Amino acid sequence: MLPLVRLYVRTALLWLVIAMALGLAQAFAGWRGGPGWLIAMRATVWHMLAVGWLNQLIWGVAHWMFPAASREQPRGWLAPAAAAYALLNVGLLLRVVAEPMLLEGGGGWGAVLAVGGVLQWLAALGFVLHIWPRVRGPLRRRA
Amino acid sequence: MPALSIWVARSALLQLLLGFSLGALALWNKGFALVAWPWRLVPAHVELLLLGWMAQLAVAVGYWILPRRAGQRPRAWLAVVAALLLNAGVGAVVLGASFGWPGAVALGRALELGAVVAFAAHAWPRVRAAGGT
Repeated sequence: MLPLVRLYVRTALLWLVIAMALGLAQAFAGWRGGPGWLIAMRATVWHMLAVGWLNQLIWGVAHWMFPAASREQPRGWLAPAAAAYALLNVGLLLRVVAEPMLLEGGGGWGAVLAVGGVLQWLAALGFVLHIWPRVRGPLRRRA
Repeated sequence: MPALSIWVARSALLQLLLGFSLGALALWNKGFALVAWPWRLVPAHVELLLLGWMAQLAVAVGYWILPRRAGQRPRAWLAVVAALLLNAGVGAVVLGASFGWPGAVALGRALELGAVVAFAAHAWPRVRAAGGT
């Protein structure tokens, strides 16, 4: 398994574990009482699962499994794939930190949240740029 | 990758970008409130990413990867129907949810149901052991 694929998959697994742990904490807080910011993080936890775990796992496996872009560069243009990994995780992390902080007190956390959204969008753009040429039929045999 | 998988995967990738665009807009608006309408796009954001991106990519890859029978993909027409219905359904739900047309949402869900039934009917016989009949 390629290094970048391992990064994608392992990071996705980390997000899964953290999201499920937060979800458990939320459920417990809803049952026995807990800090308001935790209970208000419902959308955040859903995005940790949907973006950090599921979407990132898909991107990693696609990077691993999709057809070769060309014989010379089977994995295609790697820079957008690597950038997508960094942008997605930094963007999601900013959201996870900023969303509850915004609910608690506002301040500059609105800007952090907005930047987090932009970074995740850039990550999606990077992934599409990387994988689009690999959505193809089999390479033709050389004459 | 067969031609149908290529087209369906490309459609999924475009819906990934569109879904993330709506999500980024909504998240920006949460940080810096611009206008009220981005919140109306959240259902469209969810539909595009769960159905338009993830489910559709699964259809594309499943059609490509699942075991074939003597090198053929039996009843491939069902997969074509599934792809068409899925995209039409997502489109109807996105428009209906964004503009407040519940009839369009219901129609979209019906089309999506047709899509998954068609794909399941196509894929079921291909879910078998290697070398199995």
